Amino acid sequence: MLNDITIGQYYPTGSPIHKMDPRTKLMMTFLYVILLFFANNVYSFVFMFLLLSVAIKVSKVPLSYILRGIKTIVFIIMFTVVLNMFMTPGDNVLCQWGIFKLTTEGIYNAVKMAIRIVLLVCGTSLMTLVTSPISLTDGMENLMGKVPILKNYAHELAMMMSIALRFIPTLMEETNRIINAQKSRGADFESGNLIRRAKALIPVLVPLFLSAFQRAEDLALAMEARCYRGGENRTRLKELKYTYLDRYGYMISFFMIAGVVTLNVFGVYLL
Amino acid sequence: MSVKGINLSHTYALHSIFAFDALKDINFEINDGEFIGIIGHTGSGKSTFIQHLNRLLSPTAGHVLLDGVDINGDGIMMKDVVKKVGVVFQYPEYQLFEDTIYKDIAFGAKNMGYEDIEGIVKESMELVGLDFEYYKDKAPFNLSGGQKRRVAIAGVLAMKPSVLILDEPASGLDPIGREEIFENIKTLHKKKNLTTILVSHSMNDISNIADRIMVFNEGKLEMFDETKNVFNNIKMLGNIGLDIPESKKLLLLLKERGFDVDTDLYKEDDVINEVVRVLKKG
Repeated sequence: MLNDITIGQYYPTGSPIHKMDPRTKLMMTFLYVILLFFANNVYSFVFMFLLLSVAIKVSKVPLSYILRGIKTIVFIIMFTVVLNMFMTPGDNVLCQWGIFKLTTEGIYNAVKMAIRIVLLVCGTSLMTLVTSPISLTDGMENLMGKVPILKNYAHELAMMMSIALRFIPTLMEETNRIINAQKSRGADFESGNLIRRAKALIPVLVPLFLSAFQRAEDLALAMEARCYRGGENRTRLKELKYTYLDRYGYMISFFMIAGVVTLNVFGVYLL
Repeated sequence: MSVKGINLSHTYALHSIFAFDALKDINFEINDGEFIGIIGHTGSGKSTFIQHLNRLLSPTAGHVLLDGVDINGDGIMMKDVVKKVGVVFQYPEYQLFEDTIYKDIAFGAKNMGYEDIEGIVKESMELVGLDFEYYKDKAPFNLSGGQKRRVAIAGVLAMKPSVLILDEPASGLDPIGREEIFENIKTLHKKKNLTTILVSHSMNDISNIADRIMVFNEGKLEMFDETKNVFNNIKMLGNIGLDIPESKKLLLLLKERGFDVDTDLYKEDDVINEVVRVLKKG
């Protein structure tokens, strides 16, 4: 169950996408997510789908790794689909129970929403799979430093994020270790109803929280002992640098915008 | 209870670029009531190996048999396996979670469906040398490292296993704590005739109690023989970066200087007697 978490999992293959500057990748992902919500007809959705397919192909990350992220949100997708199907107001009513109406507009909306969520999760998973956590936070810090309100907190926020990302595998390992120990004492996490299963997690959560707090305290002490004091005047070992790959990246970004706008406008005539 | 392994192999992250062969074709047989030591470098496959013995991991190939029954076979429940094979992991104090010591030790016994929980908890606490009346209502988190560890070991003993596996039970303890833990383990083995498997980096600790030793190297079972024979194979141990006990080193040094000592010995007591004998003669 723990192995399904893809956040912060880096899959190195050395592809051109891996070598891109993290800022470019962040901007492109951001743009991709926004465009997903602008896309409004079959053609622009197919366009978005093709863009992602090409990106996955070029990145050489196995498809199974990207799809793993979807497995954890199947429930959310289903919830959204059902909600959209029955709660969308429309004229073409197919059937009706009380306030719940199934309309053709509802079905259309539900399908659109499902495709959006799937593409959104795949797109963002791809970004974390092709960008190492360290360069990801470096990129974020750099980008946040350019936004007026976030400017003063950019370093702190990035530091918090990199610590959080850094500790995902550590805490996961710790969790596995505790689960193993409790399983060896006959703890059963897999059977029983929801309440029983939630209760079965207590023997895992109590030791996990204890050790997480301990770790946090140790880390804070270690940082203070080395006179850590935020972002001012800090220099870095690896400066971020744009290369020719990033020029292509931004060119593709414009192509994405142009593609979606064109297909949104002219899609009507194509139908 | 006897433990047997046939062509046991395990590969982590099978079918991916992270695939890693942690165990390679391991065959072994451990007899009822034996005391086995396991030595090997970090990453040699020791931990993966012991996790197969109580089914926390299933082999990617091969079988583990307990008294001739395949523990991964049809109809065998996880519960049946952990009831027979108790594992005390490294730093077991991290598994404590209840607010009193009594409740924490009772956790495993309750999961196994035993009756007379109080009697079992009392017995387990006595086996590890904790006074029942004094400790039962105390919070486990306020204890010292050595005491926490004993509570954790008692929690495993409360499941009444026939095979006990201990992964580095003394790591991180002070010398007195170490000695006490090993005394506990020795008496346990004798009193309950438990088949005991001890993983340790310390050749000194292993040499004093193990009947036979398994040597792991890069996922393979390099050697599985009587303690005496393993420590006589100094060249092999040296090649994989392992050492021999200090006691044996002493005898070898004495031999080098021309004393007529029996270098087959390795147990601390035997070595002391041998040195005294030679000194008296000389």
